[in-house]
Amino acid sequence: MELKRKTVKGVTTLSLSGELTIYNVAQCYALLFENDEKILDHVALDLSAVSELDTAGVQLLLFTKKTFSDVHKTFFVTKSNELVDRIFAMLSVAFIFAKDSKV
Amino acid sequence: MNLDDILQTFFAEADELLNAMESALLRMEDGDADLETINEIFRAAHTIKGSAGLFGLDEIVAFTHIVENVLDRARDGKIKVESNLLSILLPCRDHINRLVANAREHKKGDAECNLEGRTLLAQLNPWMGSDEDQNETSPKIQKTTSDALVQLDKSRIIDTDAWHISVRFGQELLRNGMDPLSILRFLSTLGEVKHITTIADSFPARGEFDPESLYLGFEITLVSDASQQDIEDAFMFVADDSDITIIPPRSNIESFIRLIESLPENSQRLGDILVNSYAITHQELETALAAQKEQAKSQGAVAMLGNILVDQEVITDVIVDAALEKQKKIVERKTAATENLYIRVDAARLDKLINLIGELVINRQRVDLLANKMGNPLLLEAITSMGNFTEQIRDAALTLRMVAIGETFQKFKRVVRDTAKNLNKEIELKISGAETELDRSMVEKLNDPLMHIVRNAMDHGIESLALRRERNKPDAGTIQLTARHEAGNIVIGISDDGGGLDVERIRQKAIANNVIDANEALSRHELFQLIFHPGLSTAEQVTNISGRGVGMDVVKRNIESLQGAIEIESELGVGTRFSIRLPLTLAIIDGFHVSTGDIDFIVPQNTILECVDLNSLAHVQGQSCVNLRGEQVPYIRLRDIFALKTEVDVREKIVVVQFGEKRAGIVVDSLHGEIQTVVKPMGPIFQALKGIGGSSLLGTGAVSLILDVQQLIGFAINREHVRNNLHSQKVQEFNNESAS
Repeated sequence: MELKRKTVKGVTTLSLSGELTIYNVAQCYALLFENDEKILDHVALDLSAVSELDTAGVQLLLFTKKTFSDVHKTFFVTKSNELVDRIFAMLSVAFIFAKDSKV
Repeated sequence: MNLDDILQTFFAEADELLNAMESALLRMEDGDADLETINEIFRAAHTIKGSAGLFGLDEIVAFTHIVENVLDRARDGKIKVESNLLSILLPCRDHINRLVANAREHKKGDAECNLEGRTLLAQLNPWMGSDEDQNETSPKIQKTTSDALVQLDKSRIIDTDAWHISVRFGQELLRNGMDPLSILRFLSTLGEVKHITTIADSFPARGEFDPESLYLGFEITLVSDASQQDIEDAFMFVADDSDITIIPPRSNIESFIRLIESLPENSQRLGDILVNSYAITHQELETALAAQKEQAKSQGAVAMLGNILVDQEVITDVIVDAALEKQKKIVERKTAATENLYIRVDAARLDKLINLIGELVINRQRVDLLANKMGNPLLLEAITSMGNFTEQIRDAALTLRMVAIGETFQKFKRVVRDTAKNLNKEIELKISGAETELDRSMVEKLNDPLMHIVRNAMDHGIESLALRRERNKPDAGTIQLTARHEAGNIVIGISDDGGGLDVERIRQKAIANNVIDANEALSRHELFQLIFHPGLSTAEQVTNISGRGVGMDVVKRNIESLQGAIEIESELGVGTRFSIRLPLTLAIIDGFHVSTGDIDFIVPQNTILECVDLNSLAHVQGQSCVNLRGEQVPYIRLRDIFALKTEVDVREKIVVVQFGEKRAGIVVDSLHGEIQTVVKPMGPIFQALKGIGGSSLLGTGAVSLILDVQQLIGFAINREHVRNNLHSQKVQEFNNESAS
């Protein structure tokens, strides 16, 4: 698992690649919230390179989304792949990660 | 099968249904307001009416039809089943029972019976619907459909062919290597997963969030033909620490409301989820939830939601009816399915099967014996494996006759209720171990003794209200029926928290009736046993509840005829407890084959504690008593009590047996080992013979006698007792003589 950060014009894009499963959610959680200052107003998530995703992974993303929403910041998925789409659709959570989602 | 046979089936079925109806009515009286209970009562009446109609039993049909109508209205929520209605419905059930009994005896109801029926129907009158309120529904529908506020999309109802599954997983699930996604994927192999809503409402605060714990729940809509079991199985590995609710297709809205109430999350949000997939609209749900709360507050009871919706006019009767109709079909299908699980078999056929298996067991022993003589190893191996199966067949056949004692216990609910009312006492009946099984033939014979003891407990045991208050006891007396298995026996307990037995009064009475001698020293236990003596009734007043000529002596005889024993413990002012110990079956037993001289005996295996060489034990001087690890055990010689001619120089063995709390030794010449025995009762000529409980054929074709261990123990103990008394008398005489 790898997490890359890139900030352009106030929007931070986080690119996740590799597995996002129970085996590394703790690590990923730490990276995501590494430094509260790094949580900017707008965070876009690129999941197109995620190779494996399980319930723990989805849960982490949901929690991150909630944490952002609680402090009125946006967190959305900008790119994904077939695997991620399929799981999001199955759990009916895709709408939560849409760009204009207020959930 | 001729018509008469079918009619018998109807009677048997009617009995069962009436029993079910009675216990459901009693449950309602105890405050069970479940819709399913009313349904159960309704179904019983409905089925009896329907079947009675087939046989042209018009009296039953006419009466039951009206009862059924009232029940139907109760089921629809039009009337409430409260204590005043229940107190009429119970006698109505009895009247149906009476009509069925009349039909069985091919007689018409007499004038008294007719009067009873008419009186009951008149009493039911206030609950019968008038024609007006049956028509009442139609204007309501119009009103509702014209009401623009609630527009119901009827097509959505059809879509409720789906299961609803609600899951809240345990937090540790992920760490334990489970992934809910794989369970959800598995569900999609059972049918079509229409929708999964992920519930992410239970996240803790930032600092407490542990990404490896699971906080998610799921609401799942699944269209599938799978059975509830199949769906449950999908959650098999996570069921222990998860909350899973599975609502079958076409369940009524009430189940969903109950689900919403039971879940930790916001009702509103859960409601929304349900709205997505089911017939109810958001507003309906909200109104219903609010109304339900309101009603619960004011009446302390949760009303059927369907009715609330109707009352609020947010949902049409048509829809509720449609839903109820569908539900009814499911329920009926379900009951049909459970009925198919049982086959009614003539008891005589079953007995024949058991007898044949008994013969099989005997023959197997003969084959065993012959094979042992021939010593062919292949044959021996085959016979060993055959023996294994014979044993299994025997056990399986015996379980066929086993029934749970619960049904017998249930009957007492009504007895206790009615008798308590008669006696003007408040008595509660508690039942435990209802699932304990025993032989059917025993159950039937147990009824009378149990009834006698329970009646006694209510009449003489439980004190009057005034006395109970004086003794600081709760107003309501308690009678407890318990059953459990214990080492091949069933132990049935009947206890009350009443006045207990007055040992001194029993003693006085026994002396007055010349049962015992005035200066005879008896232990507490022995004094209690005196109440089983013929003609010793301690109740000073003979009431019509107990004391109707059947004494405790008959109770004891009945129990003993079943190879059982009855014991009493009692404390004055605290209560009394009867324990009845019975063997599970009388048909086939595991025995231990012994012999004295050339006579073979069988000792029931479950009574045997150990077998020892008689000479290896220390004898108590001058008595037939051995010292077994510090305990004095009296013994008897089979040779002596049955006056057998045998050589004296054999090395005798002692078989130590126990029945209840008592032990004794049986001295025999030789031990042969375990054997399965089919018990054949003794012929009428030998029935009076003491010490022998039955006979059996050995594999060799020889007859062996099955020892009645209980009687033998009693015999051994008594003899020692008498001898001790004689001994102490002699000592006393000697002392007296030397003193003079």
